[in-house]
Amino acid sequence: MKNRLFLIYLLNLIFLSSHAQEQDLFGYSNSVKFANYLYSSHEYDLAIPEFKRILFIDSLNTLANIKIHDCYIQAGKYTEGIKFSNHEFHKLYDNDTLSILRGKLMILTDNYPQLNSEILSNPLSSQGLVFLQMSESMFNKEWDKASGYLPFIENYNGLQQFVPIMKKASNIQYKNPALSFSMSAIVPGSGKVYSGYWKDGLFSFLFVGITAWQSYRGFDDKGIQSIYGWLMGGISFSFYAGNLYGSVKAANKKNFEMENLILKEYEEAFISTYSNF
Amino acid sequence: MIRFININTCLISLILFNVISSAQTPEELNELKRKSTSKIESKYIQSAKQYNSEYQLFFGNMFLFYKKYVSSQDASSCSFTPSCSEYALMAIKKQGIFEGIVNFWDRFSRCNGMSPEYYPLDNVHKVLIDPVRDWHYNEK
Repeated sequence: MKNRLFLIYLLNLIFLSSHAQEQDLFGYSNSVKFANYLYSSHEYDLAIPEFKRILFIDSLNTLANIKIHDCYIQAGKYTEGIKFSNHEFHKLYDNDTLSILRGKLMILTDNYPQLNSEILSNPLSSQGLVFLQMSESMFNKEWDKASGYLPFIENYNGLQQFVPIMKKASNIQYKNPALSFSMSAIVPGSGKVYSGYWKDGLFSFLFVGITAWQSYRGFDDKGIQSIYGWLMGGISFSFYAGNLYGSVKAANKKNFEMENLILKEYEEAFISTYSNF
Repeated sequence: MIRFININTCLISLILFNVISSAQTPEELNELKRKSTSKIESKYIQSAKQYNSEYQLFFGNMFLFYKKYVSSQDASSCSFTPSCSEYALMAIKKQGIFEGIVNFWDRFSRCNGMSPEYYPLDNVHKVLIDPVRDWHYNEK
């Protein structure tokens, strides 16, 4: 009886053992399925090790290599992405999409010298080349140079989303710091209003105006010997000088913010564009 | 009855306080003691104590005097971080006496809390972030 039970136990063990191996969860095809599932559900951080497992099994898997590059970009891990790319890129350097993704990583890490010497000097597809050259100009705030690519990208279906951003960039209405300074010199605070900061302009006008009025009252009462007049005059002059300085700064701040807004919009489109190539 | 309640209350209190008093380990108590006695100086106070010229020494000491005897007597009222006095100190140190003072007067006229939409918010201290910037709007 005991021998029988032992036999049944052994048979069960063998059966279950072989059954458990049937699933093969970490095998190639399951890894591909799971990695693609993570990628499609935007879990880029988790998808990276899964695609790396695929690459470990099949080192020349172009799609896995591309997806890892893209996952690093989508997850915002640009420096780690470059490190991975440096290690893996040489195997598939003649792939256009991979070159573009590597170029994107270089742009996102401000590595322009390497981009020019390595990626843009290689024979890329004309669409990919235009995309990277245009992006390089955009991220360096060379609007005129970037807008030169407009006629090309208008003809490429994959790059249509950049057209309105590029048009916006080439039509930025910059504030003139010299005009802002001159306006504030005549009417305190008006330069800040011109730059779009009307509340700051109003306060500048009030501070300069009230202190100047108090100074006038002091001098009007006691003449040139009025300490109050001199004190308020000094404060008024300081506010006036600050108002001139602040007006130039306000114009430059507005220009900086307008440029940054366009760059942010471009960066979002830049990061999400890859499947078009 | 009253005597019984009193004894009970005393016993429960004793157990309760015993538990509470042993809730902190000696290491935690030492850490609390260290925190309550040590004086951690802000980077601005440290900066005020370092100087390269006579005017930096003068303005640094003015700042320290203001922080110790004037500003400490009142609740924080500046809308920005760094505060206006800290901004003035850093502007003078980084931009020189003339540009630094003019930059401070511009900042002083903006310190009214009426324009929160122009600045990012420091979520920890609930004040607006406005670092020292020159007229090019470059951070100094």
